[in-house]
Parts: sequence; structure tokens; C-alpha cells
Amino acid sequence: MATKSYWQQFQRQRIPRRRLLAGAGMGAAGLAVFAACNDDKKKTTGGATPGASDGTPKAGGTYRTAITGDWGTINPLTSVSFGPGILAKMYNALVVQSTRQPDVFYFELASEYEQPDDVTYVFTLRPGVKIAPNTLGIPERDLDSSDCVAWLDAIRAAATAVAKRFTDQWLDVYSAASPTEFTIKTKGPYAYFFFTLNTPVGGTMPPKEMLEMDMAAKGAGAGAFVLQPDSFAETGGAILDRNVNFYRKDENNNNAQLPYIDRLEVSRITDRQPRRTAFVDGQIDSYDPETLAEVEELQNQISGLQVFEDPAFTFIALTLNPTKPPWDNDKVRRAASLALNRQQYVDVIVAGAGKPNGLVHWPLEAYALSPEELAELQPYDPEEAKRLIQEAGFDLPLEVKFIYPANSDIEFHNKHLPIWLQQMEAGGFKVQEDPQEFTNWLQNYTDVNYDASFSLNQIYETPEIPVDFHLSEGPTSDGNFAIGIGKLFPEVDEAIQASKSSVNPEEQVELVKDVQRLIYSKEPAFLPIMSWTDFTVRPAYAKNWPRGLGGALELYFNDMWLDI
Amino acid sequence: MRRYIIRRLLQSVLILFVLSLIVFILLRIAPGANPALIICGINCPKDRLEALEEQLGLNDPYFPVSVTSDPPFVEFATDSQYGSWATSLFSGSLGKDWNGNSVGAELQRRLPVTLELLVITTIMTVTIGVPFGIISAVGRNSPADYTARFSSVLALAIPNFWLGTLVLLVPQDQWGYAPPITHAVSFFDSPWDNLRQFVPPAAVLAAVSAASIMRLTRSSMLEVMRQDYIRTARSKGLREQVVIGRHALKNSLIPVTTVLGLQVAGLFGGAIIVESIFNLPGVGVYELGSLIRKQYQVAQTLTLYIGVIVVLLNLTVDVAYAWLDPRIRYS
Repeated sequence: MATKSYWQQFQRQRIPRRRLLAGAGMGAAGLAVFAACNDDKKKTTGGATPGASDGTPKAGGTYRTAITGDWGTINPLTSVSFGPGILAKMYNALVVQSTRQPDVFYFELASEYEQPDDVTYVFTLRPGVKIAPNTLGIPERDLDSSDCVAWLDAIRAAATAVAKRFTDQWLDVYSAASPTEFTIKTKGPYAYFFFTLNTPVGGTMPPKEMLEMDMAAKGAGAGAFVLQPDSFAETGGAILDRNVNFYRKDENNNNAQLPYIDRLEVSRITDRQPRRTAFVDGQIDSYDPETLAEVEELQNQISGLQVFEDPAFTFIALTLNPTKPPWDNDKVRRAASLALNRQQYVDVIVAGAGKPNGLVHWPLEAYALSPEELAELQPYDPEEAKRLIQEAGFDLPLEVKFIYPANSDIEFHNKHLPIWLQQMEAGGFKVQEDPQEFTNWLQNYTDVNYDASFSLNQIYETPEIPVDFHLSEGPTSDGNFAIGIGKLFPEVDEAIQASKSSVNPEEQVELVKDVQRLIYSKEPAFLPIMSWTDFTVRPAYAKNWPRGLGGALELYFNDMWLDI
Repeated sequence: MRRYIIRRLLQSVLILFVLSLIVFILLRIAPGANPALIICGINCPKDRLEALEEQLGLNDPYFPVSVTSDPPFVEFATDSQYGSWATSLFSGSLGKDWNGNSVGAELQRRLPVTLELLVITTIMTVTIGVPFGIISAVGRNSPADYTARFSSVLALAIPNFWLGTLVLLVPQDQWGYAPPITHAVSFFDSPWDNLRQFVPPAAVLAAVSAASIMRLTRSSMLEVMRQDYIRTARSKGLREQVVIGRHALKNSLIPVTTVLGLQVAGLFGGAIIVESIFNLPGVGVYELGSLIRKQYQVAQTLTLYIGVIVVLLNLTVDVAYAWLDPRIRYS
């Protein structure tokens, strides 16, 4: 079974934010509600969730879905796999920003915020964000700023917290001036503040009482749903019941209480065939077809099937080690890029359901360079590749070493390989393959013990991650996973750091684009190939599924309903 | 017999201890990624990785006793990985996985699924394999014999992952029917749904095991029926059913019991492929997942659990021999 990411090797599905609960179309008019901003410094509360016009919502019903691997814990401090998908349903973020449209914000626990300067965020907390009824002894009270303080304290104190890197690198001080006012100061202007602090991976905030409990198996907060006691199993499923105290109402429907759905039932079905069978049989309400052909098969089987197409925030990249010859030669790196026909991967692997990537992948829309510009910056020209190899002083074909996981079931990993080998040969390279057992390869990849390799296909939720692969010390700034051309060109490191320094979304976009152009001029060593379109199908009765703004933000939407 | 059983149990303790050492060492010397890296997540920074290694006890010494180059040349460690694991076994908790979830609780959830699958499979295996083996042996070279032998070869040749997929796909495609898939249904909650869920995978497993048992029963019966005491029984005028049922069958079941015992022992460890295809949360997929994700505690504990089952089952089988064949006496 092909799995979709690094975590599929272990967890059998990629981080499930999109898969679990992302979905339906969203009207463009509704987006304007969120994009509206009266004041540069002060954001106002967003309006009701914009949604497709599916009729009058009905309350009730159980939405059933499936994950394809283990949760990887539901402890919000450390969860990285499927856990974040339900953390956003149980707990709260302050303000969530769309990764696809960075001027769109969703106000969750905070009803507004002010930014008196580039490093200070003053959040006004919304009254009435009440904790769900629960059996854990947590009072049904409103969340307040003391919960925010406790959460950041917990991250700082936990050496293994996912968000610890953010708190260590960027968090300066934070304080609660009153129960409804919470202030954070960063060490410097940080463009990805909202993405990092408020994503379900490491940023979704439980009530402070939960921090004293076993968060790996229990969950009760002020989110739209609460974990049913004893329903969670790390290698099994989970059941979440509606939070009757949930603070949101549907302004488009006479302030009807949200969420509409009574219950979320999540099962664990690792293999694709039983998952598909369960969907066709009506045992689950969503399924992820692998290809467009499979979508069409299902459309023939199930009448009224809804098909949602969303870009996958993931890709496989060719990762070159610019400290090892011949990749330390910019002409040779350029030749490798010229030898890549990215469109061929799109055509062959996903039958056209995707697009070639630049250094920032196309699903990130605003941050990605246009196809026209990419055609100039990373053209396909194998003959030019050969000429450059010779100009660099090498004979043809140029022998290069390449490691890859021989038994990978990461989605499309094994499908990229034969295409790439063929293209490299056409471009004047002779690849010495070094297939390795997956976990061996993973360790070597992590330690950058390679000349060239395919990358893991992780979720690249923001542009920060793919751009950081060009840093001299790689995406983790400590030499793991990759060495970027910043190692050869310090100005690249400077430009990347500068691209994180603007808190103005429009300026941020231009900085990210400019840094890509700079990296291209230096011949990058991390070459994303293509991102594909993910399909999700749902039966006709699953209405008003959020989509279009990026998985992390959409997970906080809870106005979907079931027409049954 | 009592002394024999006690001696075997004492031997079992030694066997299990050696098994525990082997699985412990093998998991740690096997090449591959650091388990902390697997948990840490995408773009895991080194400091978080190191903190995780510390938290998971991966920096603790392997064994409570280690040899050093300095006097007194032996060092004792209060915290060792093997010691922690052994403590968790003896305390009954069975320890926790890397995410802090109880192995014991997970095993408690999965064992009923595996046991039910095992019981149904064994019942089907015995009720199909043994009678058809007898029919095949008694009616040697008859059409029934050829049919049974052909069917058994077919069942052995068909990969169970393919068979299982067909068993799931064809009814769904042709008749819109599928068994419950999303979670294990308890027999006490809904007997019908429970059987709908467990009988198909059990049938897939039983196809192979029944074929083996059928062939073994047939060959064993044929050998026994050539014995002099069978001829004597017939010449005494006993009815054929009595000759077969009372005299031949019991003796021919000795090798069958051995093989059946091994099959049952194997099923105790779960049936990974069938569990995956039918989405049964059994012990097999749990063990496979633990090996892939380098969940040492889980993999070690499950391997030892399977070892205990195999050892006890072997003992049971050996004791059963004495019942089947009065000539066999243990001392």
C-alpha cells in the first residue's frame, strides 16, 4: 500500500489534518468576511463561517471517518501524527492564519488582537469559551489568559515539546494583564508567528487543568468536541462528543448552536482496500481515493458523491549535498535541475492531477512563484545540462551517488525513482544507486550522510519549511536532514532569515518570493519536484465541509452538518 | 507425569529467559533509525531528539550488569533498559510504549480479537480438515479423494492475502455486502455482527490450515490403517466405522495434534495479513507496527508473550500425546 509521507512508513498516513476533516467548498463572498480588516493594527472578530449554500443546516448525526495509522499520541505538547487532527477539535488556538491566503485570519480563542509594534501581540480573549462537560473533574469554566500562560509555561518546560523550538528561538516574554488580555512578545519580528503558535501541531491549547493529567489518553477542553472517556486507543480509534458549551453560533442560521454534528467517530483502518470497502458500504463518511480514476469509479458506484480536490501540501524533492563533489559545483547543480522534467512526474504518477513545484510549492499559492517565472528559473533542458557538466570540467556521463529507501511505502517515493533515473541519464548523469532499508536510509538522510537523495515527503504547511532547507545548517538549523546552499553562500542564510522578519502578510509574501529568486541564482541543492492534488470523497449528506484555506485553519471550522 | 510437567516448566523458564535476551539484543543491534527520531517528527531538531532519547531511556545502559575495564571490572546500574523491561513484566503492567500508552491495556484490547479469530479458525480447521482427511484416506483414489486432494493443494497454493482481498471485495462488488470493518464488534454486543466480522477472516486462515491438516490426517490414517491391529480389528468382525473411529483415528491424530498445536501457537501471535485486510485489531498488526516503529517495549513483550504461548502449547501437546497413545509415558 502506498503511504503518503514519512509518517506513513510508521503511521500509515500523513498528518491527517486535511484527510480527517478538511473538505467542502467555501464561497468567495464569505472569505471577504475574514479578509476584512478595519485597522492595520487591530483585527476584529471574524464573522460566521462562510460555507457553500447546501440548505438549512440540521443538527445531529455522527460523522465517521478513518485514520490510517496510529495517533502518535494526543498529547498536545508532543503530537505530530494523526493526533493534531482531533486536537483542533478538542482544544483552542488564539488566532489561526491561512497558509494559502495569508491575509485571512480565523479568530478562535482571541476575538481580536493588537500589534503595537512588530514584536508585540496583545490578544483580547473572547468571553464564553467554555470547557465542555467532562468526567475529568475540570470545571466548566471559561478559558482565560491564565490558560495561555500555563500552556506556554508547559511548552518551555517540556524538552520534548514540538513547539519548544518556537519558544526557544522566538518567544521573549508573555503575560496576562487580566483574564481577558494576553500579551506575547517575540524576540524579533517573526513572519510565521500565527502559523507556529496556533497550528494543531504543538500549538493547540488545552485548559490548564489538563496539563496535570495524562494528556496522552484523555482530552477535555473548550473546543467543539470532547473526547469520550475510554474511547481512545493509541493504535485504535477515538470518539468525540459535541461540546454543548461550545462558544460558537452560526450567524447564518439564526445563531444556531454549533457544532451541528453530535459525534465524531474516528476508526483506524490502515489498508486502503478495507477503507474503501467501509466507505462504499456506508460505514465511514469520507475516503481518500488515490487517483482520479478511482474517484470516477466511486462516482459510478455511489450517486451524489461529493468530490473535493485540494492540493497536497507535500512533495518529494531531490536533495543534493552541496558540500560533496560534484554538487559543490554550481554548474553541476544547475545541470541536475535542467535534467528534471517536473511535468513528466505530474503526467506519469498522478495522471495530470498536480503541478510542478518551485522552491515553494504551488499549494502555498501566494508564496509560490508563478509558472511563467518558474519556466525561466528552472527550465527543462537536458542538452544544456550535458553542456554544463562538460563546462564544469567533467566527462559525460558524470557519475553521482544516490541513496534511497528500497522498501519505502511513502507515497510516490518509488514512483519518482525510475522517472528520475531516466531523466538523469538523459541529462548526462550516471547514477550509482545505493538502495537502503528504510530506517537505515532515514538515519542516513537525517544525518546528511549522502551525496544525493530523495527527501522525505513531509507536510510543508508554511513556506518557512521548504525555504529553510536552503539554510547552511538545514531546516532544523543544526545540520539535520539537509545542508543548503547557504553553506556556500552566506547571503542566502541572511536572506532567508530576513524573509521571516516581516509581520505584514503582503510584505512577507514578497520577501519569500525574493529569497527564492536569490536561491535560484545560486543554484539550489534542494529541488522540489511536484505536488499533487488530493481527493476526498464524501456522501451527498455531508454538508458544508470547510476547505480552501489550508488544513490547519480549516480544522477549527465546525459548522459542517449531516443531511440525514 | 507430574514430575515431567514440572521439569518442562522449569526448562521453559530458562528458554524464555534466553528468548528475552535474544529479542532484546536483536532489537537494539538491528540497523535502522533511532526510535526517538521516529517519534520526534518532521524536521526534528537535535536538542529535542536528545531530550526524547533521555526521556525514553535510550541512554540508559542495556543491562543491569556491565563489564568495565577498570576495577572492580563489573558495574551495576539501577536503571537499565533490560531491568526496566523485566520489572514491568513481573509487575504485570507490561510497561508503556514510547507515547506513554500501556502495553498491557492495549494487549487486553487486542487479545480477545486474536483469541476469537483463533478459536473460530481452529474449529473450522478441525471440522473441515480432519473429516475430509478421513474421507480421503478411507476412500483412497476415489473421486472424493481426488477432489479433496485437489482442493487442499489449491487452498495451499492460493496466497491468503489474495484470498482475503477477494473475500472482502467480491461480496461488496456483487451484492453490496461488507462485514463490519471500522472496529471490532463484541459477541456480547451483537452476536450476528460479530460472526459476520470474524467468520470470513477465519475462513481465509482456515483454508490453508485445514488443507494442511487434511493432508496430514490422510497420510497418517493411511499409515495407521496398514497396521496389523487394524487388520485384526477388521478380522474380529468390527464394523468399519468402529475400526476407523475407535482404532485408526486416535492413533493417526498424534502427528495431527502436533501440527495443530503449532498452528494454534502461530495464531496466538496474530495473523498479520488477515488482520490488516479485515481491519481486525489483533495482536499480529500490533506486533508488526511495533517492529516497524521500533517500539522496543511492545515488540519485546509481545515476542515474549508468543514465546510463553508456544512453550505452554508444546507442553500441552506433549501431554495430549500420552492421552492419545497409552504407550507413551513420561517420567
